[in-house]
Amino acid sequence: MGVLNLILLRPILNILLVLTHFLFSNFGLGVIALTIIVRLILMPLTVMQLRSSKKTTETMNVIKPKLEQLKKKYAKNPQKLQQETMKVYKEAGISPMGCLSSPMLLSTVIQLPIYIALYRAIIQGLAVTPQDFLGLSQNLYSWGMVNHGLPISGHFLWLNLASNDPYFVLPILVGVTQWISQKMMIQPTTDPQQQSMNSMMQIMMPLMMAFMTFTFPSGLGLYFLMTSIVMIVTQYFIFGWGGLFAKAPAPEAATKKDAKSERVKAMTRGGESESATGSAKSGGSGLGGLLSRLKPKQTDKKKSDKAD
Amino acid sequence: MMLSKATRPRLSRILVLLVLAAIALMAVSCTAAPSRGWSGPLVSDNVLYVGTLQGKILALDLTTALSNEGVQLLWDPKDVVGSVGGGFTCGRVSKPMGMYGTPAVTNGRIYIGAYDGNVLWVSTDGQAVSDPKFKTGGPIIGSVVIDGDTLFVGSSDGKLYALSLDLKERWHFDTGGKIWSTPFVSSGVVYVGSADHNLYAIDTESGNEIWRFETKAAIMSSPLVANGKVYIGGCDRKFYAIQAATEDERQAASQREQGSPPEVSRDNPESVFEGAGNWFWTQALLYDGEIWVGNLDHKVYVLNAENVAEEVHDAYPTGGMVYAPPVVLPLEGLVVVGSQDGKIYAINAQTKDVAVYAIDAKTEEIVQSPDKPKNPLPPILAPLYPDSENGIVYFHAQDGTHTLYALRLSADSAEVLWSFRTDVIK
Repeated sequence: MGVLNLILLRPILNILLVLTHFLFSNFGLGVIALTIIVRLILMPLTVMQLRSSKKTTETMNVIKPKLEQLKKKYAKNPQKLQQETMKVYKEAGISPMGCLSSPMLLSTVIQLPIYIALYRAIIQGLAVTPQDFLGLSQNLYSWGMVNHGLPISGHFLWLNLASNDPYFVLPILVGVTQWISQKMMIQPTTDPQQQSMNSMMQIMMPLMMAFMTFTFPSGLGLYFLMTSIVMIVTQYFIFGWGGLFAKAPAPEAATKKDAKSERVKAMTRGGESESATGSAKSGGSGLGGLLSRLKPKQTDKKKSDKAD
Repeated sequence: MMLSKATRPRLSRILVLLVLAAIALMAVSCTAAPSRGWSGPLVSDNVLYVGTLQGKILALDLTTALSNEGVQLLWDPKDVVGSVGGGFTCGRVSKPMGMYGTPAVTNGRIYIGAYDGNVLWVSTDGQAVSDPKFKTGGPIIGSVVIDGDTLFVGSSDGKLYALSLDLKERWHFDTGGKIWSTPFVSSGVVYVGSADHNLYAIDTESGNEIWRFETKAAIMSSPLVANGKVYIGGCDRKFYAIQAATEDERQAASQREQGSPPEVSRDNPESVFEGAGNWFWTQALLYDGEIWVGNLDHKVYVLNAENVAEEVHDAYPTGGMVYAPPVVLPLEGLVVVGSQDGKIYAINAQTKDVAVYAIDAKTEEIVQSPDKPKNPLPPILAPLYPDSENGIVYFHAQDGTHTLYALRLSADSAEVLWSFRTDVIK
């Protein structure tokens, strides 16, 4: 913990206070600026994570019928079922570990401590109680501009950043932006199980974040809000509006899904492996490369819809 | 929406996971560190008064304690502080305390400033409580000071208040920054530091500003006035000696119209010490021509009172922030310092030899090897109270537990006389 404090918390905290100093001694502006800067620095990792997540979801939708068939076929032979399942995963080019697959795990492992440090830096900077302020002294550099603006002024717009929002505006904003972000992320699916889970996630996550924002000091709520907004913008530039304006496919479609999925699988089996290898071959890195790799996929999807 | 049999278990798993994640997040975010504060003890007529974590005022009878009959409450503790918002502490490092300041006693009343922003009194027999209290616009972090028939207190609303002893406002002076500093009154002038970076000298009668001295950062420490100088350290890591207000300056200020700017300024200090590694937060002690002052860089500095830029002795390192002002036991010739490391440092003012005393929190015995005590005391941040006559230092160690200690010190030994938990009143 001491090392993490030294290499993450203290630098982030001091940069936050320097930003606050230059932004008219306004801690709210400092939090907004630092959240955007940290998110921009970590953008390649976020993009990698989003891409990997989207790919996994899409592929899982495609191979699901095949997995269901295998379950029925090898119901009495678990060992064979496992082997065949792994084979399908391998052919599809995804990891059965889902979010624990290497690219996602790597980006999470790198990002998480930074986000936690950012969160802790905001709490420390706010120094809600007198002893918090006293403790803050132990994490500051000797730079004059760091000490100059302390204790920070907690006023930002209608908020006192050291206490929760009495008008509930910030929790509502956090809930709404979380909902938009979730909705953009979630892929339309014909699977009723998946639809139910998606609906649950879309409601639970924003509610949870809104409740936390209500109970936490507004400075942290501001951080949650900026994080959601940056995420929405990032997702827009990578995937467009995603599932935000997409209507959920009619539940009846689910009854036809086995036959349909078979056809999709047949069409995409070659395409998936092609796209899996293609993603490694073409496009390069960064947003441009990512977009160029995604566009053909979307075209293919439209084609397959027309074929249906 | 109707859910299939296959869907329900998966949904319930997701719900359980979400709930667990929420609980984990809330547990991590809402687990604040134990409250530690700096409500120090005060002794008057063999009774020790102290404010507690929960906002109670305690009165301990020292006559029984000094005769080895054990320390006893003189009367049922008075619960005098309202809510300080400690119930739901998500996203905070620690919970606030009910009281931070040290009480002041005069005319049969104990006066206290509380975190809920109120100034109040309790009669020394515990029978009466002020009603109404005087409400300031923010939490009170420093101590109240009484000079004659006037009480001075600074508040986080940025104002220094002068009140009558019946808690009626005489005047207030708005500094524009939080006041956590305890005011100091000398020769009709009240001095107070503010988070707006200024030290103010204010006429006690009119409330008019005599002069201000600007530093590069907030001033949270309390001033000390002696030898015509004001000694104060700031969050700019500097310790200043500034010429105190003269009688002529005070009179000129008192005759000025309220609101008009002061004619005097203090642009330059007489001397400055710039060798500290962190903020000065504590009041200095002047003893035998030397200034003793603690710093949040874990050290105690000994400076020449005539020229504070000059260190008389190498700084004394401790194991934590030095927040409590040093006190002196003149008969023993000891300067006593409490530190965040929970240890007491007794320094011989003549020889400058230091004895470090660590108390075992369980056995309450002095630990033989103080470097690594098995059960160290909580941090000592509150001002110590020196009983010069009996060679005893009373201090309030506050963290997960809050305990008062009476420590008898001599030139080469220490003995714990008694202790009393203030966070759990039996």
